[in-house]
Amino acid sequence: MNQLSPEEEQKILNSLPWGTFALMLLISALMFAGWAFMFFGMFLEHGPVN
Amino acid sequence: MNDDKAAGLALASMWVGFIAFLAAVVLGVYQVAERSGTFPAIESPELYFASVSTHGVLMAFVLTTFLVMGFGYYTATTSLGQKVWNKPLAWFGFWLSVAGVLTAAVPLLTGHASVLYTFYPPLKAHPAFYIGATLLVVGSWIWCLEMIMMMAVWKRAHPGETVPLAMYGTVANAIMWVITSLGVASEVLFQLIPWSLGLIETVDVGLARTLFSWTLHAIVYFWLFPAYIAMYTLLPKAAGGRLFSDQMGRVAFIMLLVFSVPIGFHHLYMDPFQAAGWKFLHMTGTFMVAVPTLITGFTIIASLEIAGRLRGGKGLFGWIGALPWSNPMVTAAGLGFLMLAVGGFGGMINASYAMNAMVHNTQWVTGHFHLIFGGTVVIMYFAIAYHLWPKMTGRQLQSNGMALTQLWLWFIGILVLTLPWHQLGLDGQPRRISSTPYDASLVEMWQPNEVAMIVGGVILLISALMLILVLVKTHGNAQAESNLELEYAEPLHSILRMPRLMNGFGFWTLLVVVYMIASYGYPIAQFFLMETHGTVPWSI
Repeated sequence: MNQLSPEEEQKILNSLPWGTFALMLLISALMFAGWAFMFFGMFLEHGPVN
Repeated sequence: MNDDKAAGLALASMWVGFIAFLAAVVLGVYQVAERSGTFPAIESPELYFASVSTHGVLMAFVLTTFLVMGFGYYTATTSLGQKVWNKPLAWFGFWLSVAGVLTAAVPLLTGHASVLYTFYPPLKAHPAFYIGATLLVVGSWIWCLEMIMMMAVWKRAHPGETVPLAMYGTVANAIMWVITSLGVASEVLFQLIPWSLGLIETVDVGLARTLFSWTLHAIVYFWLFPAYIAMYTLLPKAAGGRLFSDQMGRVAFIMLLVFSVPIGFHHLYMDPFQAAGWKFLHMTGTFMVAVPTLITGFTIIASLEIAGRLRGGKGLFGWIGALPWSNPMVTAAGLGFLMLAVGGFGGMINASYAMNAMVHNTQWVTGHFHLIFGGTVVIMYFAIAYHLWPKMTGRQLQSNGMALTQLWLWFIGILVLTLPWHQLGLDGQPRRISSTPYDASLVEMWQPNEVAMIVGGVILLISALMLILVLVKTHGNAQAESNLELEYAEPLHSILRMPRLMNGFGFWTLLVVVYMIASYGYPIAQFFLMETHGTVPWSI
């Protein structure tokens, strides 16, 4: 465990979780891109039902 | 063993679950090998479908129900600091559930309940299967009553105080399970048991499938709740940090309670007896239920970020490497989230009304639910076991290193098993088949994925054996556990006063009932109002 001063610890506890925001944004973008690929690239490629 | 914490009840329940789990994994390896066509000597449709049915029951009903009950009893006693309410009744519920499992096992193992662990007529099982399943569900209802009563007793003794988050989530799960299991309970009691006993000649399949859909999706959240509860209340502490927000956890639990039940028609997208408008309504709800998972993802990752930074992690992602990955709870949660992200993506495809046609009844669906359940849910069950076993037995975990290896092997095995499984579905392989007597070029294209799945199955079997070994050897470990207290995560901001709506369930239960009437009222009533062409919708 890293030794932090009480001030450093408080600063961490009060800071916004920017890494989490970035990760969630990344995951959301990947999900959306994946869904779009499945819809436009795979599903619509099947064409109409004959 | 501290009996006030219900360690005996929790251990007994979890052991039943894990023994069922090990048997189910063995059957699973047989199934992927049999279906691949690589080993003609073991090919047998009768044995295959009996095995699939037993595997499904053991994994989806026995492991889950007993794990939920065991974890619930331990969570309730430790988070509330009070004894089990009516302990003899709790043990009665446990033994009733065991009796139900044994009753259902006889027809399952003798090939008289090869109905693919579903409740979908016209597949019909021996009455003992349905009666056994009913006993298991009634046993689980006793657990629900226990949890609700324990929270009620605690609130009476602690007026104005905030119910601990672990207990709040546990009771949300109990209430949701009572509501959602009413669907399949009605189907089994009024349709399948009388039909299987020969008391009625036929049943309305449309009504049966509609009732089963009532249960079919929310049951997944019944399984998932312990994983989320562990993530919110145990993981941040294990990682050395704080819970980012207690309130976010409550909102997620409430949303799971409200939105997970009235959305089952995404299992009926291709069925003709429900109109498109109802299916669209249920699809909307299905996407809504992704919100609590996103809330959970954000809150838990933010909690881990706090822990990582407190441990010296710097930069946008440097905190990830600073987390204590030697802790099984942290490793399991990290791997579980990765699998949840991939599985959640697959779930979005399934839930999309139009795109569902592309994957309907293919191996994609089986791959999806194995990734979500076998991946995220079960790996968190392992983490819960590794976390609680030392507290419950008073012995140190036998081998932390083996536990970590087991978790990584499980993660690798699940990916090796389920990613090819998804691909098989996209390549057109139907699900619920015991062999592949199709076009030769198709079968040739499927073969590499079939072989990969066997490899995945074997890795999972090795991992499952390691889990059992660690748990068994922990009981006999000479090293006593020094800290027997189950420590729950502290929220980042202490709670001064919780709004009543987020400290109870009266309003939310009423809301679910209203939502259920809106989304299932007419779709069920129509079977009693329209001409059924000779089938009887109800047996009474």
